[in-house]
Amino acid sequence: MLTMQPVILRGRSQLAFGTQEFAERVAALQQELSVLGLDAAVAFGDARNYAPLTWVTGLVPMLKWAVAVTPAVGETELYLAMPGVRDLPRMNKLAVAGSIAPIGALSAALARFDRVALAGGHAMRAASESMIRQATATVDGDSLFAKLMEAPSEREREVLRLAATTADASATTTLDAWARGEAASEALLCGDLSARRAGMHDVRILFSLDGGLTLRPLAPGATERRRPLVFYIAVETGGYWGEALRSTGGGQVPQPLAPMARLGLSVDELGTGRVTPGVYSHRELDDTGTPSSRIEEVH
Amino acid sequence: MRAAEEISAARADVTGHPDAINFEPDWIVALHDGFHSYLEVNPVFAATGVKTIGEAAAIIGSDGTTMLLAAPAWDETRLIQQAPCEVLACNDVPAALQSRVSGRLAVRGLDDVSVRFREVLAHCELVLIPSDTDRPKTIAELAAARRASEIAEQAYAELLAFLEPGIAEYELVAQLDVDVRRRGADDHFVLCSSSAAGDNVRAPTDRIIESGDVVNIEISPSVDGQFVQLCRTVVLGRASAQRRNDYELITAALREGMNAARPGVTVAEVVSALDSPLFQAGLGEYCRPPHIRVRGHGQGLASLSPGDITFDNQTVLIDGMMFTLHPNQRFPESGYMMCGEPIIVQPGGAMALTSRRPQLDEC
Repeated sequence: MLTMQPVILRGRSQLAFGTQEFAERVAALQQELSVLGLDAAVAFGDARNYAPLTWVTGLVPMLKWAVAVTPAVGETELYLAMPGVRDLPRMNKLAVAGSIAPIGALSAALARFDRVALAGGHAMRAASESMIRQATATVDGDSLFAKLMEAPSEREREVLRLAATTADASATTTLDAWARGEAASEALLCGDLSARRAGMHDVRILFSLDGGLTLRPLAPGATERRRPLVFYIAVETGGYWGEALRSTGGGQVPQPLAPMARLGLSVDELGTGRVTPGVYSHRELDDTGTPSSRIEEVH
Repeated sequence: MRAAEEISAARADVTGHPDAINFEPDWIVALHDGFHSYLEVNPVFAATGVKTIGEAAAIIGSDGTTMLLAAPAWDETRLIQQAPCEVLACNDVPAALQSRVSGRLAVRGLDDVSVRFREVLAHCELVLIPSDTDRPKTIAELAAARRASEIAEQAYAELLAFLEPGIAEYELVAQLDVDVRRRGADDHFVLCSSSAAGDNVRAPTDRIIESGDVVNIEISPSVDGQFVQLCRTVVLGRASAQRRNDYELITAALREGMNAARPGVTVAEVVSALDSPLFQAGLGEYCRPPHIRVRGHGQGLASLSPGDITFDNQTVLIDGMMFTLHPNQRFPESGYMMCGEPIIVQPGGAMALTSRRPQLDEC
């Protein structure tokens, strides 16, 4: 779900996975490159669109964008568009790669290759696109990565469960704050804070004060207490999202969120489809198997 | 919402550039990808005063008529409420733009959006104009900056009350961030660090803050799209005499820099004045990369004038320019410490927007 992009992701930052899983992913990617006769895989990601980048490095870009280059033979190289080089050394606590360098080194790195698979290219800006395409010939890499990302690991399923249950808990915190008499902004900030204290890397909120007819991003000054407060909370950890959609009493599902409300998928059901970084999940089915993504009332 | 006349003044960044004027364009086009950046100008925001959720284009006709094209379509109600111009909310901004402009276009931000924008404008004659100009802040921007500075100071005072050993870095930042937004900020750029020795700020981790730690923090709230920044250092416990002496050096550096920041002076001259106490103390090596990045920077979203505060920036300061001045510094024994203020250039020397000068706090 598209939400207002903050200038920086402010939540807990940590490595998404360890060196063992990283080695397995790189090996699988290099196996595919060998079969396809390609020299390297190039995964582009920015702070909103990052599935292939995050899959291969664990990095969710806090700022701007980044590119992971995995040669058919050799180590993955990560190139970061950052304001300065001073911060590069500590990036190894947020990403797994053989090397980390500023984005200015990318063109020379790509010039080593004749033909690369480019994934995430739909999100590129003109400047980054010309940097990559001028350096080397590219073929579609999205389908290559889609194949690799198809079956979620047990670790990924646990991360999804954590995201989903945290979104649920944060929504409950918001409802509790509303029930105490807090205004809309304050109630939503209570939910936001609970998610961040639970260690979420990112939290996004949309809400409606007209019963679900319109949606807006959380902004200061929503002091109303007009019922119902319809709201959406999404939380991210390790590149995976959980969502919750709630109402303080009635209202309608906002039209942009209708697809979410129709889905009542459990995390187990998601396992039969493709689960990728950046894909939104939904909270687990309860014990009776009742879909969870519905408008609930709070008294 | 910013007043229309304030937006017109800020929009002069877009329309008043010599390249735009000399080209005699049929349209001036500002483009943005919806990724709001603390260190980059948002030309659509500069033209309209609106932060969009997705891609956006502001088109200004030769008669001054302005239209905002922005994604997603469902954001229409909010955009119409906030924009001082006609709004088209849609899910395909490049396509909407293609049908509305032709002829000669002066464009800002073309390299920072998807390549589709270049494709849909292929039928036009383009001149690319820079995304920023050197100018003072408008009255509304200064008012927003003052409010943001109040928020930053109040939130910092509150942080001193709840900062204690045993709290994780990310919990500290979570509390601070929500507090900043609870007080009225619409966005917040925040980095911190905690260590025994004094580290550069970074994204918050799950490190547990300990007694004796040095906590460095950047608090950078935004009000109506106008950012300010406070940089502070806190010691959990008693600071050593060496650390206190070193911190006095950087507060002295800040005073020298502020005193030098007057109309007609270059940014480089301000940095020279700021660095002088540190050079005199034999720390000149530590006043350059890689030990520091910059000595401050402009504050967006509409303009980052006068740019990065560096020893080689020859931009001449103008009365009313606002930027952050921060002699954040690494010391051989005390590590990295932070001291920074939002300041306004004035004839008698810069004035800080805050009410309390930085000091090495202990808690």
